[in-house]
Amino acid sequence: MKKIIYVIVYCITLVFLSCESNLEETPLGFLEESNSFITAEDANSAISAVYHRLRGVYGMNMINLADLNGDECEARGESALGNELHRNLFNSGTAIFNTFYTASYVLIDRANRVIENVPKVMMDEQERMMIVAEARFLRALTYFNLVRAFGDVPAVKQVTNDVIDVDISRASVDEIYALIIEDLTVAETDLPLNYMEADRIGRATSGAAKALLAKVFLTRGEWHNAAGKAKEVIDLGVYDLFPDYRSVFLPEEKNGIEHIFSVQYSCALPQYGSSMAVNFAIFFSYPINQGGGSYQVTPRHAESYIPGDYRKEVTVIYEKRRADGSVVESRTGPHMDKYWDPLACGPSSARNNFIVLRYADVLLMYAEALNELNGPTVEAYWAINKIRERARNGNSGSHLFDLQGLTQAEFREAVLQERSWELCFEGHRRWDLLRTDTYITKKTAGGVVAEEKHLLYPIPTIQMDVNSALVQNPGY
Amino acid sequence: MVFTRCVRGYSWPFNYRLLLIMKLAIFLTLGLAFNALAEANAQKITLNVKNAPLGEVMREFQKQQGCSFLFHGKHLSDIRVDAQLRQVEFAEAMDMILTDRGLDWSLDDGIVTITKRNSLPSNSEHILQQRTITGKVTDEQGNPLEGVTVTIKGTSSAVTTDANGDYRITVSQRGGTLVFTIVGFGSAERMIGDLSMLDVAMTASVSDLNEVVVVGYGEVKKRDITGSVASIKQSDLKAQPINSFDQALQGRVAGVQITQASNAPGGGITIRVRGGNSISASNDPLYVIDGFPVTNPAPASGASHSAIFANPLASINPNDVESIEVLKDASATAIYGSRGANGVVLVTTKRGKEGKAIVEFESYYGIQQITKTLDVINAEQHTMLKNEQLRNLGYDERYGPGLLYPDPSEYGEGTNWQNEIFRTSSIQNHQLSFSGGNERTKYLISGNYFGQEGIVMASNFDRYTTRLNIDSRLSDRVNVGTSFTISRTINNSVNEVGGNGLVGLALRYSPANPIFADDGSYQLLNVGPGSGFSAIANPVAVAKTTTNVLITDRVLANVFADVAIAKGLVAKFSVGTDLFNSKRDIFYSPETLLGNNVNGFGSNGNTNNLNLLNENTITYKKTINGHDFDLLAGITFQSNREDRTYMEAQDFPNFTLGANNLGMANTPLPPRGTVQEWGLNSYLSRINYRFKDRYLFTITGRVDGSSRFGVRNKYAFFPSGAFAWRISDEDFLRDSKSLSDLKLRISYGSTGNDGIGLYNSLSQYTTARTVFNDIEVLTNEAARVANPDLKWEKTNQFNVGIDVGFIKNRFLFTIDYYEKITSDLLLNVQLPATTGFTSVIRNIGSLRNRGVEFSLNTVNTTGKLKWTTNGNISFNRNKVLRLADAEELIVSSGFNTLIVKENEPLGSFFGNVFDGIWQSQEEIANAGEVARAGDLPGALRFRDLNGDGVFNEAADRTILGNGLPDFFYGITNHFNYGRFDLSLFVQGVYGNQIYNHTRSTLEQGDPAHLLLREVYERAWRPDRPSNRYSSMRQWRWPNTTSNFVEDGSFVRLKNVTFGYSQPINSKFLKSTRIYISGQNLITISKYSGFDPEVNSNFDDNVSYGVDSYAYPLARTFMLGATFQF
Repeated sequence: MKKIIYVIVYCITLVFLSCESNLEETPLGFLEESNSFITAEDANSAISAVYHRLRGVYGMNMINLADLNGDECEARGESALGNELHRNLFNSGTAIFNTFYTASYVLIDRANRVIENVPKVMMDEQERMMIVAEARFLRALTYFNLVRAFGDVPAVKQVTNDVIDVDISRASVDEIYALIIEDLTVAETDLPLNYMEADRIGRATSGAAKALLAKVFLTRGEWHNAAGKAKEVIDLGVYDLFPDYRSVFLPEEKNGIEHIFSVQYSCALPQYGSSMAVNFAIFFSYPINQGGGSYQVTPRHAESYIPGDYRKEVTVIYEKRRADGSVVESRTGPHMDKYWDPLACGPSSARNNFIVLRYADVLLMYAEALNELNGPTVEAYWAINKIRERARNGNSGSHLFDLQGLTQAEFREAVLQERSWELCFEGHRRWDLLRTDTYITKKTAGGVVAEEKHLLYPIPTIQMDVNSALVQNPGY
Repeated sequence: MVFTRCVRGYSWPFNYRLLLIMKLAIFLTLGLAFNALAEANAQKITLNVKNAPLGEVMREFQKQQGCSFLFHGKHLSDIRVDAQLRQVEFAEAMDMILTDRGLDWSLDDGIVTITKRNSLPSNSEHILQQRTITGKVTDEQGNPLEGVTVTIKGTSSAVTTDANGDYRITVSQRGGTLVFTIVGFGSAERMIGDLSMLDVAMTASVSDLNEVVVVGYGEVKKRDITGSVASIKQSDLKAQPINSFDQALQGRVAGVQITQASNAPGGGITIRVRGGNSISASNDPLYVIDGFPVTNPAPASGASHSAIFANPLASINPNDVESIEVLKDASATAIYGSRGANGVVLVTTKRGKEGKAIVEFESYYGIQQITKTLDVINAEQHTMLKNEQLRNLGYDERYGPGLLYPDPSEYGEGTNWQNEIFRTSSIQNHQLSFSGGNERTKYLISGNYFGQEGIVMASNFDRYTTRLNIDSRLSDRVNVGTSFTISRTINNSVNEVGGNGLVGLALRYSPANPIFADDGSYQLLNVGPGSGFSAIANPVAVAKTTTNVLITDRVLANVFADVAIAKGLVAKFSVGTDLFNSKRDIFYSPETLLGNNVNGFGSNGNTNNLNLLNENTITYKKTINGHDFDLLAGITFQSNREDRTYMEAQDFPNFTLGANNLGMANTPLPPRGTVQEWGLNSYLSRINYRFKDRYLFTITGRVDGSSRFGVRNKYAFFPSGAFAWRISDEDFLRDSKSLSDLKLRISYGSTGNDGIGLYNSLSQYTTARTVFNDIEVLTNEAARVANPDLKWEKTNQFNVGIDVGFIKNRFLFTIDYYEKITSDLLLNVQLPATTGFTSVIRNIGSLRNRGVEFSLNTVNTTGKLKWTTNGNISFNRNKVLRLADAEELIVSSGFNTLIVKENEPLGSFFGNVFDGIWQSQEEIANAGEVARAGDLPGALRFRDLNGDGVFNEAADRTILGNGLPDFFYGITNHFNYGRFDLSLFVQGVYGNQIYNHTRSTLEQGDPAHLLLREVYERAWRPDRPSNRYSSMRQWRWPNTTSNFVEDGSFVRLKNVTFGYSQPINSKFLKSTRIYISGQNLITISKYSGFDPEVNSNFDDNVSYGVDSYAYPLARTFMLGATFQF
């Protein structure tokens, strides 16, 4: 009897001892912040996630914000979004603004987590600094997009762990630029010139930080600094123009000599693909695609090319020869062919990277900055004519001559035009027009009502709803 | 001579050898050594004496019982007796010793009395030590009653009547009293006396207040209930084509609203007990099956385009269910603590009864058809409309001679895709069961097959179940038993919801498509390149070439032992397991547009869910001078582990094997997997106290420690108290002729809702992959922010109810008023993107449900024609009281936008008010910015609600309706005439709105999708203006608009069953019953979609009553029969 009582007591004790552990919640299927930053591989996984977030900002989102809203690109057919953005009919409820805003800040938070946690990881000191610098580069790039799109935006520099007090007001444009410049200054020092490991090619480099700095300075009107940074990139000796303009966009040439920084897409799996190829394609030029294809070149842009400009051949098409040899005609006017990928892996999935910074852009920035500083100098002509030379593609009959003897204003206009031919549909146009203060005139010339309020995009309604500290941009 | 048992007397007649039993109890506690019970035949007597004084013999008897007897009547104790007994039952031993000596003995309430027989037996039958009583039990009309329990009063000997109402029971020579009990009738007691035949006609009572009702961790007589508990009997479940028992509650229980969210076979239902308490946590009640609180694990994952809402309760065979009790108020549910807030549904399965073995075969077979199809345009009209749209947009037409595609007239009628995918389908159910037992062991064994084909092709549901329920009395103190069921369900499904669901495809795909293209393969594109029709898949191809199967295996097993430790003190131990494994195979072949772009894709998903439960309770009953106490205390542990794995692959060079061999695919995607665990430790207690049987008090408390809660809030306490006053038992009412019952019930208490997900208090990082330079690399990033304060949602509920019965309870009415306030509501609070997260789950806010429930049970006529009515009606009002951060939350359901706003009910549709069509350029010009930019005559017009002169989609939104009804009701009329019976069940809801998202494609002015015929006929044209349908262009629809909000009220003749019962007294067959039944026969509703009973967001609490191409309702006719052998 006593024995049995002992056994009972023993068993009950066992049950009670084990019962507290029944209430502990230890994640078995996922990681937490505390165990996500231990090894060098962890640090790399964390920074890779930040890069991955770029896909929510670039791709068609950037095309929509920068190109569709510019004067080179329009959406034909049956797209409401296209109409709203191209014709300035958008409002704060237009979904893309929230998509873009949210994707940007999520990226910034993930970058902040890398900046905060990676320094604690036991790993090679240089690699650690490099990863932090990458995060700062990506954060700077994202703020640069935000500030250009919305003007004043909240400045988030730290990891958010306490989500109780979340109302953050907009910091001034100057504050945001100070943050951007600080980040990029660190990044240009700590980032490598290039990567040797195959699976790191595509990550941010010192050259990318410098090129972005050049663009930031240019946007700020700091011509001297802009020219300086652009020159630094040129002098790195790492980058050059592809001899053939078409190579810039060939999926096979991605991460090539001219590419300074690109958002990485791939057909390793369809979900890694980009959708620019399909969206710009003539209807049904891809075998099974029925949708898409509504992004087109405005006739004004298509007709703006000088005879003998090879870039028009690469960029503007009216018909497409399919893989099987049949020809699909455009029924709706000029289409854009830069992103054509014959080996697209899905209806909205192709191999094209989204090019954020490339050498041609740097050359044109250099020319622009020099011209603003001192008028069209020899160096400035060198830079722009290097672009035009490639654009002639060896065609001696081309009317795209080297520039010379322009006034400062003419040169300014020439650079803007050159950027349009060279960089159209690559996510630049709206920002270029805003920077050069030509947005309203160019849009108006394209037959679209553009007013002062359109110089900034509206803060998305949803964000206004959840953050009472936000104030809407005027006019929305 | 009178022996009075003195020791710690038990309520049992025989009690022996306390110590041995104690040991047994201990063994059982440890769950060991059941074979030790062989020595437990303590009540058997072994004695070998000759010519011994009766007193001595009785003392020896006492010794062998391990109990001393008080001894009276000395004058008899000197009678000399012989006894040669070896392991003889006490009663038998007494008979053997006494009969010969002209002595009788009887046992009543534990007192053994030995008397001299007054008269000698007159016939030889009396000389037998035991004799048999037979008889027939009927109702008042003389119809035999089956399943009446016949008990010898004061003993545990009992039998049940067979289908002819006959019983046969062995009684001791002394006779005694027989007690006849059956649900629905008042119990009857008859003295046996010298009778050998005893027929009884039982009186029907609408509600027998002595009927025992299952409550949490125990049972209670109906008369003693202090809380709000509704009970459904097995008879209500019969003759309905239901695939899960929860469906049977629809319309039957006041306060319980059931919506068949998906009408797909085995599809999910939405159940709300007294309104939804929660915005983001679960609103489902806790289901307790034979004492096991089951969870409803999410089924295995599937690849995209495979949304199904499987009902995990469909793995339980409804034919096994004996009764269902729904606990509604806090007094009843607080014993389930952190899981009680949404109500508790107790399911009790059938168990064997003592008596002859019963073999029963039940079967039904039915056919099902769609109740309604939508009137859509044909191929010619569709292509014409496309041309019209292209003209309006300034483009070239595409359909006509010399154009891209043939002239519309050449398309003619085209394909009616609804006709192609809907079908007449079968439903069937077959069950064979064996039950019976003797006084020691009772058993029920059943096997069941249920098969239902969906009315949408390629969907069907099969279930195979077996059950084994055993109860065994090891000794007078120890009972052990098990409830054990195994099931396999095979749910062959189609993607149920949304535009890419099979119904969605059939309502969007152009009739201009043939099923098969010219080359004999399935038509792949929507007409073809440049057709201008949306890129959607051929519904028939999707149905025929797609695999979407969910296989679920479930073992729900529970073993228990209860041990009487002392008088009134019973310990109960149980160990249970719920093993729920499911596997899902999805395969989309390249023959459909959905699978074509990746050359076929398939997935295998697996879940393995193991739930373990240990419950240890002690009950103690004590009566002292009119004070009755019923105490319960217990400790329970429950834990759960779920393992999930998922694999997907794309690009199948050969697709004959489907998802059976994913390794064949050229592109395997990285596998996924996760493991989740939760634990719940609980301490519970309940005190029932009755004073003078009229003043009833219940106090309940439970402490729950849950792994789900944040580290700062691990334990929660949930108390409740209730008082009931049986007014009708007061002196001033006791003699009332008409008022037979009057009881007032008041309760208040607190319960919780722990359905807050797992690990939600912790921050989370998730891994995925990205690509650099075409090389995949791992990513890991923050996905959720921590909330260490996370805790249960708390519901405080007040309930007051009155039960009234008239004329011997022929008319019974119950009315309850309740008010529930739920606080610490969990909300997925939208965060500013600047936090790096879009939302976080937080305990904020409160809401209130209050309402009135009324139910009646009446026996209208009792003569030859018996007519009973059961009805109920429930009114619930839901109101959000407080939201922490903002006055309103705007929520997107995926189909529409909803608002959760203070002082408004949950789930209000929130959007713009459709204001007709712009008729002229002048009108648009005058409207200024109320017209949207780019509007032309024929465009949609929306109201500028805030009057600022600008129509703004965000600013000009208002509440457009709500999916919650004003009231819902159900009424069943049951008629019995001779052998015929008829029941009619009507059910409905009133005052709710439906957001008919299906119409958003069927009605838009964009023929990219299929359109309703009415749109074709009445679309705005310059010469034929319309104020209802826009011109054919593609006007931008805001997310949620008033014109898609419809009245969702309906009243439905849900079930009619007509049956005929025939007792057959053949050797082989005892009785049969045959019935025909119709389900969903008539529905009266203004709703324009398939059916107003719809909830495409299934278990979303905020979005209630959205119809997004939902799987439609079926009308069912069936024929069924029951045979008893």
